[in-house]
Order: sequence, then structure tokens, then C-alpha cells
Amino acid sequence: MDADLIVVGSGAGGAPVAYTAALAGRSVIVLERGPWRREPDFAKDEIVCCRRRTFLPDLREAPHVVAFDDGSAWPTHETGWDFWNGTLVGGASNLMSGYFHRLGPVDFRLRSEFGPIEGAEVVDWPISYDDLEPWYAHVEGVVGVSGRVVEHPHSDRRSTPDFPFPPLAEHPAAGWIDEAAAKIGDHTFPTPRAILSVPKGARRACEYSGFCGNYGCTSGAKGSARAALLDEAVATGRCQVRPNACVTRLISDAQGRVTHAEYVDAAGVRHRLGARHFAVACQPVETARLLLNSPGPRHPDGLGNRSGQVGRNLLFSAGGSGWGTLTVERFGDALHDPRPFVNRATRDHYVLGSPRRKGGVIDFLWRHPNAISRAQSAAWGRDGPIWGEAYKARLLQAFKAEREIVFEVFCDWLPVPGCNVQLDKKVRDRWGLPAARVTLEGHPENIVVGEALAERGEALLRALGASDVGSKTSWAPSTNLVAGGCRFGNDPQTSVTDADCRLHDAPNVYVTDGSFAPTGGSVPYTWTIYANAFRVAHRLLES
Amino acid sequence: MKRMSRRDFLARAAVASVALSGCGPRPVRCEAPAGGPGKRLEPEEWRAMEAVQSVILPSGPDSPGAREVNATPYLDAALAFGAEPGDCETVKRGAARLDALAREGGAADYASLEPKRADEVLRAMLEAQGNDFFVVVLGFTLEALLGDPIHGGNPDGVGWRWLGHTPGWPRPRGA
Repeated sequence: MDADLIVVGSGAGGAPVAYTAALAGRSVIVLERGPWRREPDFAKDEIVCCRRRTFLPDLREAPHVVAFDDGSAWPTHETGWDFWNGTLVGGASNLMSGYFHRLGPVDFRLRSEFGPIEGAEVVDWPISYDDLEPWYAHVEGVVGVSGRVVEHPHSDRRSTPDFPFPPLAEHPAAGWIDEAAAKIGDHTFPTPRAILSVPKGARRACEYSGFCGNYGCTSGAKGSARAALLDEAVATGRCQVRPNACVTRLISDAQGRVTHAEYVDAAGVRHRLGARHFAVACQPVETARLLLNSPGPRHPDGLGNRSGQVGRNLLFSAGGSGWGTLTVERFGDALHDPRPFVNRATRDHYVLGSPRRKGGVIDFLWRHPNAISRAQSAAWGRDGPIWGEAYKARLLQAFKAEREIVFEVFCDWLPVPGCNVQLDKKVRDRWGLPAARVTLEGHPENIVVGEALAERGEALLRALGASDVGSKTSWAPSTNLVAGGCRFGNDPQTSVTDADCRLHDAPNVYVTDGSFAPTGGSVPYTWTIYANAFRVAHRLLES
Repeated sequence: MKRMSRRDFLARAAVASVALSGCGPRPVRCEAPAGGPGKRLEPEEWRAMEAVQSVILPSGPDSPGAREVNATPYLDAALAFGAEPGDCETVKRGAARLDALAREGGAADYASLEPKRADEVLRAMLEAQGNDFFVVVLGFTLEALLGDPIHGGNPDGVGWRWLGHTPGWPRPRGA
């Protein structure tokens, strides 16, 4: 026995379990396939951050296969599109923007609230909002969520009066958006952010450099699993983080219990570690793949896959984005005020009327400040590419005289069995293991709801005085928001884990990333992944 | 019920689709050349790329162009380190095509064309072959204009100053 607990994956799903167990006196080993980068390793460098695969594995060594309904399938090293989101200690939470929304109570009972939807496997969760609420509050304090409670028709039901960290400084556009919302009868509220507005322990407060999402945080303010949780877990002396440790399989015994995790280190050497409990949190695509790649005497079709549920009902976030242009001519120099955050959202359309159906949330923000990507977009006119003097004039206009305000729509990606993770029969990774084959399928309802919300977002931008307002609701999955694949539930025939996220068939293994979600809710769900992982960690310690 | 179509997918991976449609006439070698200043670009490719990058981002009396931001040395270095595998091939095929089109019009090569004619030849090439070449070259040219100077472009932040862009901080430290 090498540790009480082994955690596979160090992101928002794994770190809360490691943290909770280590603080409770248990010995923990965290295995992470990526390197361990810390604040001094990060810088605001668009080329390194955002134009190279700096935080992602080489797709020739770690391929995914994307499959389509015509039977075609593409290994991602040929297309550059994949489902990796941040392969480093702390995972993709290092690179998130940290727009934190709680799910609403209706999200836990979608089937009961709205009835069945043809073609979708919509189910209620085995837990309620009130079961998870204390853990949302816990995340606010431990990970650090800044915000301000403003009452509106869809306010969160809270057990605490307000956020433990005051809101971040806001750009004047936040006020403009509130006024525009009032004009069209909508209610906006300050978007909670997993970013410290004041210091916490060794973590500094946000330094407002303006380059946040996609970048590693250089102050420790962003509530990444690494800065917020793992550093403290390691400081207990009971939690070991092993970077560059790629887990290849979980080994189970004749009773079906997992005894060891096998991993390959950076030098290609294979290791085995034994533990009493295991938590799997590799992000849904890789979590499903690891379970499927781990057959055992009692698990002939993969760990916990007796009912063929592992990898099914993979979820993304449906919706899309919209945009509009604000001009210095109209808004003056305040348009280029250096405070980076707009932090406004509306949940007025979280439930849509006739017919009553589930809606979603709209976030308002500036377009990402990355200069190269903004300049790139400016090179495309209605009739194709622009270059030369005309392009240079367009660049000056775009950078100096205008600013692009955008909105993001988040709605449910309905669970459909055809959207799933399997093992590819041909493509293998560097260690010879079958790669994940991700088959993509979206339910038509995703688009209907996304478009209804985008219409409201556009209306607000017009009320704000934006020009060139538009939006796009996409069939494409959000590769940075992935959930499902190992849904939790009370019936082993239709779920992979029980309500405590413990495998029905291997009681010492917990799935603690976003894989548990049978429906994803209509918000970015990082806060929910954190909250649920803390909930499960406490259940694990009680067991 | 609609699955993601392959077309949706390829639209998302527009640049990378170059690799998929790589059914060109002959394989392109992407190695260090025997002579010239290039790490990847042969001397004649270097000349063609220098010319076309100046067509895309011309120098002005008060504004930097490809030349002032070291766009061609930057492109060459990026092809040797950091670029996606298909990019080098796209650039080399494009440079050869521009030279060929210039020669069909009686010129010695693309670099010897007058600016107006160079503009027309680029347009004709993109119309015939699609925008992949433009996408790749524009991307690296803009990295040289607006990337951190530590990478070899944007000397003293000349591109940032021109567009009034404030970079984030901390900036990357010297190697």
C-alpha cells in the first residue's frame, strides 16, 4: 500500500479530493500526466500561451479520434482539433476564465420539471440542489470566488448572505450593460469569478493585467486547482504530486476492487502504486478511456462498464456567442479604460415560456484582448481576405476607434447516447493503448434554445448602442466544457456510479470530475465540478 | 437527429485542412537549406516570402510593415520551431507558386514584380487555390507584428505602439 488514496488527474475534479483527504490526515498521491508549472513559469505571452500547443500534449503521442455519422473518423493529429484542455498540474483550471455560476435547482430535476424529450436521455439527478448547496458555499471560501449578491428573478438560493471575497474592479461598461438591460426589461447581475479580489494566504490578489482566460495566472489569484488546493495539500506533507505520470490502467482483483494504478513516467518507465481508494478525474474523455482500457477479472468490458454505460451521454455546453461593436465616437475614452472585467450576466431566460422549456445563461464580456487573434479577424471582410493599405487602415480602426463587446450563451447540451466515448480500434497512443474515439452528436433542441437566448443577447447589445450586432449558435461542441460519460444514478443498469460517484461495480473507486453529470446544466459548470468533488471527497472519507 | 457533420468539423479546423488536402504534385522537404540565411526557407523562397509579406503588410511613412517587424526572419524561424507540421509545406508550395505565376507573366520571379502586379498575382493565386496560404502567412506575419519582441519580431514593441496595444504583464523574461 503506497497511499490511502490515489488521485488520477489533478484538475478541478481531482484536486478537491486530494486536498480534503490530505487535510483530514490521509496520505495521498496525485498522478498527473502533464508537467508542474508554477506562477513564475507563466507570462503574458500570446505566442506561447495561445498560438502553440504549450499546455497540451503532442497529438501524435496522445491522439483523439473524432467520428461522424457518415462513418468517417479523423485522428486529431491531422486536424489539430482535440479534447485536451490543459495538460499540467491543476489541469485546465489553470487556463480558465473563472466565470462561476451555480446550477439552478431545476437543473437537478430536468426530467421532472420539463418532461421527456424525444431522442434525449434526460434524467433527474440522484441528488438535489440543496445537497450540493453547502459545497458551492465551501468552494466560494476555499477556492476563492469574488462577487456581490444582487437580487433578481433567478437569484441563487444561498446559505450564506454574500460572497466571501468582494467583487473585482469593473470596467465602466458594466454600468452601460445594466442600463441597457433595464431598457429591454432584463436583469443583469455581477458574474461571480473564481479570482481573488484580495489576497488569500500565499496567493496574491488579481493584478488586472487583462490577459486571464487561456493564460496561466502569474499572481495566484485565479482559483486553479493547483494554486487554490494542491499547493496547500502538498504543504501538509501528506500529499505527493507526481507530474509527467501518465496512468495507463487501473488493475482490479478477483472481487472487482481496484488494487493498483499503473503509470508511465517521463522516461517511459512503468510503475505500479497500491492504495485503499482511487479517485479518477482525467476529464470525461480520458476518464472514460481509462476505465475502458482497464478490464479486469470482474470487469471484462472495462472497469465499471457492466451495463455498457461508460462513455455514453457525453456532454458539452450548447449555445454560441454574439458580438457587437462599440465606438470611441459614442462612448469616449472610457471605452479603453484599462480595467479588464465587465462581469455581467443574465439568468432571466433560464427557463423559457411557451412551450415551457429549459433555457440558459448569457455572459457579457469584452472580446479577448489577444492582439494577434484580433488582428487576424480584422483581415476578413465580406468578400474574403483583406491585405495591404486597406488592411492597415482596418487594423487602426479596430484597435483604436472601436472595441468589440461579446456575449456567450450557455445552454444544456442534451444527453444523447450517440454522443459518446469509445476505444478506437486502430489509433493508439505513444504507449500502445487505444485512443479515445469521440463520436459527436447534438440534439436539435440545443440549437432552438441557443438561438432563443442569442436573440436576447443581441437585443441587449442593440439597446447598448452597439453596431454590427450578430450571433452564431453552433452545432459544434465546446471543447473546453466537457462533462458526462460516467453518469451517476441509483440504477446500475442506467448509470456508472452511485449518488456518491462511486463505481457501482468497484466500490473503492470514485469518479470525481465532470463525468458524473447526467445533464450539464445551462451554465459553465466548473464551479459544479469543484463543489461535487468536495462533496464526494467527504463521502469518501466517511466510508 | 443531426450529428456534427464533417463539414462543420473542417470549418473549425480551417488551417489544418491543408494537411488533409495535401495531394500536391510532389512531397516538399522541410529541412535546413544548404545555403542562404534561412533555417527552413531556401534563398529563392526567402525572397518570395519577403515580397509577399510586404504586400500583405506594407511599410508606411509612420507605420511599420513586414520589413520593420522582421516578418520574414520570424516566419523562417517559426517554421523551424513551433509551427504546425503542415505550415512549412503550405509556405513552400505557395512561394513556388507565386514565383511560377510571376514567370508566366514574363518576370524573373515574384520578388521582382512591381507592387501593383505583386498584389494581383497574390489575388490570382488565392482565387485559384483557396486561402490556406494567406491564413498561414498572415498568422506568422501578425505574430511578428504583435507578438512579444522576445520571439524576434516587433522590435522594441513597434507594432504595439502603432496600434496602441498595451501588452499584459509580467512579460516573458529573457532566455
